[in-house]
Order: sequence, then C-alpha cells, then structure tokens
Amino acid sequence: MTSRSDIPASVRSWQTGEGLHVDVRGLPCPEPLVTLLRLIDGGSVRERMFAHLGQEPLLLYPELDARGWRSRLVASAGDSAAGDDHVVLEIVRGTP
Amino acid sequence: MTAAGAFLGSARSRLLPASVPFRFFVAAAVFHVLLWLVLLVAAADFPRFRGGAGPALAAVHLLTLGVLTMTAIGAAVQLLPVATTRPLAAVWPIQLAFWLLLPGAVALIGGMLIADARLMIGGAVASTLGLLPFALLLADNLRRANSMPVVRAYGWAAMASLLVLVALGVALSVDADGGGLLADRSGAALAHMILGGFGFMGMLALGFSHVLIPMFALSNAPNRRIADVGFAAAAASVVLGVAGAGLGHRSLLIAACGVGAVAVAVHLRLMQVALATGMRKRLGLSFVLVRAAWASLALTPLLGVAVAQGWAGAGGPTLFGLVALGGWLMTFLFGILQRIAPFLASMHVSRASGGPPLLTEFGSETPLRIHAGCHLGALILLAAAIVLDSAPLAALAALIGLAGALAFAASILTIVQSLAAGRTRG
Repeated sequence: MTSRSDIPASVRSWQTGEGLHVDVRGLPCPEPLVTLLRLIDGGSVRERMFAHLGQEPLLLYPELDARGWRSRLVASAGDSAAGDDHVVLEIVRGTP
Repeated sequence: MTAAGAFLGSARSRLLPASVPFRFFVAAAVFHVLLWLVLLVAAADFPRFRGGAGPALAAVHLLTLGVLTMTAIGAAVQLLPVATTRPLAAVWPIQLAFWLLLPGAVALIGGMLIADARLMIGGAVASTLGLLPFALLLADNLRRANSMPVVRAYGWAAMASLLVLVALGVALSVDADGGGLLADRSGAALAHMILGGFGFMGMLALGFSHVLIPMFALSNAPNRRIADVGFAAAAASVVLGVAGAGLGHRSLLIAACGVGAVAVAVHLRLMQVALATGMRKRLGLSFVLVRAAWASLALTPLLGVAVAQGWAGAGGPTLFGLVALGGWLMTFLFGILQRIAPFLASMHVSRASGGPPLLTEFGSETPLRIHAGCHLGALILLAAAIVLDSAPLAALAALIGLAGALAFAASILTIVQSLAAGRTRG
C-alpha cells in the first residue's frame, strides 16, 4: 500500500504497475468526488489512476471533462471482476 | 464510441429515465406561472391573508404543493440514490405518484380558488395518495442508506412530518365547509403550515444541503457531530412549533423560534465552511439565489418571535409565511433546480458533433438571469406590499414574478426540447 500525504487517512490507496489505485468506497457523498478531484488538481496523479467506487460517479464526469481528463469503466457492480457495490474507473489525462 | 462516450453510455443506464424527474420539473414550472397569475387575482386580499378558501389560499398551495413539492420530489428521486449509493426500489411508483399528485393538486387548488369543499376534499385525498408512493420509496431508500446518517435523519424527519401534514391537510379540507371536525381550525392550519414549510420541505432542504452544497462547492461533507446538533435543533424546533400551534401555547411557539435559530445558525455555519473550503469558488447565478435563500432562512426565527409577540404588526403572519415559504424554500429550490436540471439533462443527450454535451449548451443563461432578478424583486415588493397593506404593490410584485416565472419556464422548455431531440445543437 502506498502512503501519500495528499490522500486522506480514511482512503485506502496502493500502487501497481498500471498506476495508483484509490478506494473511496464507503465515504459519504460527495467525498469520493472531492478526493479524486483533489488528487488530480493537486498534481498527485500525473497520467492515470484507478478509482474504486461504490457506484458509477455520475457527478464526476463533467468535472473530468472540464479538466481534460478521460475515463473508462474497467469493472462495474455485478461483474465477476468486482463485487456488488464496486465500480472500478480508469481515469486518464487526455491528450492535448 | 470514445471511452468517454462508452462511460456515459454506461452511466445513462444507471439514471432514471429523464422523463421521470423532468415531468415534476415541468409541472413545477407551470404551477410557478400559475402561482403569480393567481396572486395577481388575489392582490387585494394577500397582504392581510389569514387563511380561508379563496385565491390567496390557492396561491399559497400553488407554491407549496405545486412548485415546492413537485420540485422536491423530482430532485429527490434522482439525487437520493446518487447520495445514498442505493438505487430506488422501482421507477413505477414515482410515475404513479406524479399521476395522482398532479390531478390531486389541480383539484385541491382549484377547489380553494372557487371555495368548493368537495373539490378540495377530493384533491386532498388524491394528493395524499400521490405522496404515499413517494414516501414509501423515500423510506425504503433511507432505510438502506447507511453511509449518509445525517441525510437519513433529516429524511426520516421529513417523512414523519409529511404523514402528519397530509392528515391535517385532509382534515382541514373536510372541515372547510364548517363540519366542526377541528376544534381549533386556525391552530390546525398553523400546525399544517409549520409541518409543510419546516417539517417536510424544510427538513428535505436542510438534509439535502449537506450533500448538494459540498457537491457544488467541491468540499468535504460537513462535520458529522456539528451536523447532528443542527439536526436535533431543527427537529426539536418543528416539534415545539407544531405543539405550540396545536395547543395554542405562545410560549412553545417562541421556544420553537429560539431552538430554530440555533438550528439555522449551525446550518449556515456548516454551509459557510463548505463554501470556504471548497475547490470551486465561482458558483455562479444559482448561488446568488441560494445565498438570498439563506438570508431569508436566518430571518425566519427572528420574524417568528416578532409575530408570536405581536411586534410584527397586522401583516406579520403573512410576512412570516412569505419569508419562510417564498424567501427561503422557493428561492433555495430554484437555485438548486437551475443548477441540477442542465446537469441531469446532459447525462441523457449527446452533441450533434459527438461526445458529451457541455452544460452551457442547454440554452442561454439570459432567461435564468431574468428569472433570478424578477424572483428576488417580486419577493421584496411583496414583502413591502404586506408591510404597507398595499394591493397595487402586491399586483406589481405578481406581474414581476410572472415575468420571472415565464423566463424560468422558457429555460426548462429549452432543456426539455434538447432532451426530446436526444442531442444539443453543439
């Protein structure tokens, strides 16, 4: 697990070869959104991260669009790769 | 399809059909226009309104049942599952709620307008039946919302208020022709107003604020312990107010205002912290309305004490109703609605040029600016009309409010047209 000063203690995070994984499940709304955006706006994530969420983050999409970042659903609730209430979102900086 | 497009496609599948929340928003926009029209008719009576069937009572219920309740249901059924991360159990009960509530509200308000007791009773019963499926869905969702204890507490309080509110509403309708059902009709009417304005709608507005304001400002959720104190004070204030109205005890009403002032102070402090610590500082036109609503909310308990003590003059009770229902709730809901309606629509449409649409593509901001200016101007003029007991001022306020309501309806219509076409022009 990677310990990062810009990630709240209540948020689990770890680094893999693919990039930083941040698990914001269980946080009250809108903290999942705010945590992910703080990582992007603070420059902690340079190119790519994987967000683990309790549901598809509808409110995150326009914020990512506005920042020029793209997103892709890697696994959704009900998939065998993810349990119930588990959505994995790959978030990538857009090419200019 | 691009990755973003695929993602949006997936997101769409998790949303309610756009027609579900937007049917409530369209109905609210139409009732909003009718509200100011009927207020124009009632201009002579409104500044000293004390209840009783007629255009002034119809105008009040066009606001509460027509505008506020429709907006709140439309927003709640879409936003609550997002906030609680728990999907609604089913969509059809919301559709059923709408098709019972719409004719029910029309009949009830029409009955009030022409002072027809049978129409009022029928409308009250249909409205109650319409609110029931919404209450059941709300209860089911709140029951499963473990991660949102504050919103859940406010939601339960709103639902409990709703149950007593509709029971009193039906009783008041049955009693409208002098049936003698209610021993203290004016006390029951005041309790009905407190339950509607501060119990049902007020609790929903305060509870959802704990999610919506941080969401718009991009800040953390409010401090849980302080929010619990705010909830306890708000709930106690409603209980004291309803007891004071029902029992005819002025001291309880004053205590309700005192405890309510604590609830307001805690709430506004939490909201101020959310705005100050949020990543987004420029919150736009909608927050002009939200801030005006908060100013009205802060005035409400002070005005309540003044009315209870007899310091507010002959127009005091009407002014209290205007500040609470119009200044606080109506202004707040329009501020929120003008923010969330384009966002919800953006989830359902694509651009003609491909990709997700920008929120600015859902029509010009000009109608919203006109609405905001007219809305605030109309409320200030209406307050002046009440203080001065001036029918011409009330009529002028109604005309300005009507212009704003038409501008707001035009804005909603633009969004609905984009939804119907399935894409924006961009």
